[in-house]
Amino acid sequence: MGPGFLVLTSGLLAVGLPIFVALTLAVFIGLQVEGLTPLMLIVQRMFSGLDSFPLMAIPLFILAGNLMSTSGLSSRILKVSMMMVGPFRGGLAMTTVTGSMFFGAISGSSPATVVSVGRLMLPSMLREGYGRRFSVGLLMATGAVGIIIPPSIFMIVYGAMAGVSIGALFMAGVGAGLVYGAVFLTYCYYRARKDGMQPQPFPPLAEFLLALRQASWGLAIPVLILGGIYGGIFTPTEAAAVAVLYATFVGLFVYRELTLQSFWRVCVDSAVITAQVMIIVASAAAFSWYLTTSGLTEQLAGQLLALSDDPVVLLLLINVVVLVAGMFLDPNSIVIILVPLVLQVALLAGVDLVHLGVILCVNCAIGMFTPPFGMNLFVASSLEGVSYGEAVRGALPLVWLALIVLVIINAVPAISLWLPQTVMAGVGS
Amino acid sequence: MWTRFSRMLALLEDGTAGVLIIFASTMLCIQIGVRAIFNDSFSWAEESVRYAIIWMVFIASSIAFRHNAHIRIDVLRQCLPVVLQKPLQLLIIAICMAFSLLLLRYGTALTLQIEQFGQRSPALEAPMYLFYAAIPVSALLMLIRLGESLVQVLRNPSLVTSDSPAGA
Repeated sequence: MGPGFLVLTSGLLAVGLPIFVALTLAVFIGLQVEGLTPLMLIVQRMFSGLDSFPLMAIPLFILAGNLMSTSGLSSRILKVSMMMVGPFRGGLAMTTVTGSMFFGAISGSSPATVVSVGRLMLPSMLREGYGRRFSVGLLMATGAVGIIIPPSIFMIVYGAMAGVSIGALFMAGVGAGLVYGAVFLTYCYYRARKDGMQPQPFPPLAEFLLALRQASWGLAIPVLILGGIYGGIFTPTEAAAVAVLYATFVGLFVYRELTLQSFWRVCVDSAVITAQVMIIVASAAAFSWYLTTSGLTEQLAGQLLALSDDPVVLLLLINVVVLVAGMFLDPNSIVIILVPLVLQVALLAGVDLVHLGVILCVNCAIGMFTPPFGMNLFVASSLEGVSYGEAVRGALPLVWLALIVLVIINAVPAISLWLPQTVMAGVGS
Repeated sequence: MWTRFSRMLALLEDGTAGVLIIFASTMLCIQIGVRAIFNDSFSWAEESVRYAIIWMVFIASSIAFRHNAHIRIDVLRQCLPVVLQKPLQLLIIAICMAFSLLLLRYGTALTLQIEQFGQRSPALEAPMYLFYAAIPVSALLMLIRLGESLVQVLRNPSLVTSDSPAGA
């Protein structure tokens, strides 16, 4: 079917069908038109697309993140981050940035970050006199950092697809996430200075230390996860299970904010959130299989490679392709559908596959709040008193800022690779 | 009568999904413990986690239809005038139902074929068709939930908001 197939898929997506229905239905129609392959194979592909142990980290990290919110770990972490940057000029905006980064580190989901941080921060930002567009834009842009900072569902899916160590990808995401955060923090400071906002006094050291001690149970989690994976004590999937156990323990016995009833509710909710993500993984696997077997992947890769053989140009092309795809699709579909294509190009361009994972991830993060279809725009416009139009106008200037981050991350591989390489050299694996 | 059936089914779906995710976490924690203490691992732990989660994903996909929570690009509906929103919703539900029928038909065919081949899982040595059956079962559940949404949209003279749970 060739290009007609891609038009069909876009049409199905644009109508507003659930993404997994649109992708799978397109494959059903594509195979039916060709009439050569039994349609049963589509179902087979959906099943085998999920039948991978690394992917099982997704439900468990989602569960761990939700348990941490319900157990009161998240709110204590947010309090610390508020004390750290709050007193500066533009402190409240900065708190949104750091808060989103911490939430990202916990939940690995961008829409969840926008909602949780948004409910807390948006009313206070408006009250303190920040512009509505700026506040909403910042919320969406920094909510997207959740897919870069580990544990990241995106990295898990990419690692499973490309055969790259998920542990190394998690480590690489730390550097990239910090750079992303730093650029946005600087921007907040600059804006606040321009608007003549005043700094606040710092809280007393004792108060800060107390908050830090209360949050220490939560702050230990990233260390536990990354340390455990690197120490070879457990796989990323097992690390997720440990995080679940840990959050349950702290919620039940340390903070005592978790009840058996809320524990059960969180489990069911997490199952549904997992299904939203993983059913798309299943359908994207079928979709990607169709693209490969029908020769479309090969065709597209050929066209890309024909454009140039300069590594820099090829890398630029990868960025453009993923960035554009990111405006229409969710990150996990993109990675499953495009990785077979992108890998061919990236190998010729000589890009390190861990670095490539980070590049793709940042591209998708930007796609999450790029108008008109970015997921976070819809999530943000579900917040109280925010219209879709406002969300779009708020997002646009910050897309440019995020593109600067993208350029930096492309140009300086060390930001992504320094941490995994240093740690790996230490472990000797 | 139908509301009661619908509610029971919802409880069953929620219960299954919740139990499966708890099972997966527990199983993995036990595995780490056993490996740390006895320096040994049982090969079927990972496999059981994989198939538990696959069942969970497909069951919870039906729950997601009930909550109208599947990820979609919602821009067209927001751009359309109010009069056209209901027809669009009906169209979307109709296409989803057609899709569920396809999934039900070919999922059943695949499950039956695997049952015939007598394929077994490598570690648990359980018949594979039990795991593949998740797909047709979930297609049937989705069909039920979509039917409910259809009736609800048809009956409702005004608009249905995008996140009203259809079966609640």
